Amino acid sequence: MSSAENRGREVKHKMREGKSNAQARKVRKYNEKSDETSHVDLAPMVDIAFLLLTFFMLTTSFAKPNVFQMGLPEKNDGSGKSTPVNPKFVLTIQISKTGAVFMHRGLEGPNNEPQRIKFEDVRKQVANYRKAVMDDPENAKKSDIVTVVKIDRETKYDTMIETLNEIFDGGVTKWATVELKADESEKLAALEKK
Amino acid sequence: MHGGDEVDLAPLVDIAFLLLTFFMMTTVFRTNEEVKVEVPSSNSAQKEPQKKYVTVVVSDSSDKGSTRVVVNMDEYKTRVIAFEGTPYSKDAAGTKGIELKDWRKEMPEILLRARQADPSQVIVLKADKNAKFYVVNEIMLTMKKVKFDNVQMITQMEK
Repeated sequence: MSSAENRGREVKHKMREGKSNAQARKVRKYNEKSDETSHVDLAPMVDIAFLLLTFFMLTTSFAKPNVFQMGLPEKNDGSGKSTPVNPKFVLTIQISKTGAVFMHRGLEGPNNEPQRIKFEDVRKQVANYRKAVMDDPENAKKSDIVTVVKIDRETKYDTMIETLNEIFDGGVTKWATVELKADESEKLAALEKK
Repeated sequence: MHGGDEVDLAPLVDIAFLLLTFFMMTTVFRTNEEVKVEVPSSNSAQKEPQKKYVTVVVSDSSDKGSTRVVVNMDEYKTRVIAFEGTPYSKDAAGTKGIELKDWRKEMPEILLRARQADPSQVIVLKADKNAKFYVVNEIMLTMKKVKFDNVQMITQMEK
């Protein structure tokens, strides 16, 4: 259908079918074009492409979860290896059932009751104590403080992570977590009520 | 151009496929986990390991005694070795991880086998923020017992 004669015949044919002259011309024009360039309709492909694009955009998660790395605790029955430490340089943090934080330095005693501290102050307090120990003339070897974190068995994991996070931010490098013994737990609960 | 009232879609297709390729290549599908956990937040910037890891998922333990524990390893070989001889050996081929019916009893053995299969593996703990400390502690003690030294606890960025 490339000759002008053919085209003319086609227009006439369309007109005979009841199409207006202009309509017939349009049909002719269209046919002519598709013959010359073999035009492909890209719209469905675009549809599919965007559909897949949307799918991958929605399923992608760029932010991989973070991890908080720590050494694993030893069992609290004396079976683990022990390292002698100067009790003066030990900081004990106790976390109660409800997540209240108590802190005391050195050995616990009648004059050294655990003090309740606000969660927001944990980092500052730990950092202060660490600095004090490092500057202590007795601490000739500049050994770091040892932080013992005693946690009640019913405490939420969330509280544990958040407190440990604060302690690490306070600069602590030597530390251990233990579960509070039943009597310690009771004592702490009583202290919390005070 | 062609008919005048038609728009050339080719550049649009180019862009669409470019973006499509980008997202396809960057997407990492997470294996569907049966136990949904909401992890606590920390300001740690360390990313989770990409390969050679053993995952222990611990569910919320707000209902007493019903803590669900799912153990999984990313490598097929270790999975098969770790679950060999357990009632779960048939399911070890799947990537979904295996929920232990009696984790207190079964976990030490499975973790030990997993570590022996490839000692270079790291252990990842993904516990729900509402899990109780004693449950998590028990699991950590088990990990220590089978000679894993460090645990990587999955957290989310602090908001």
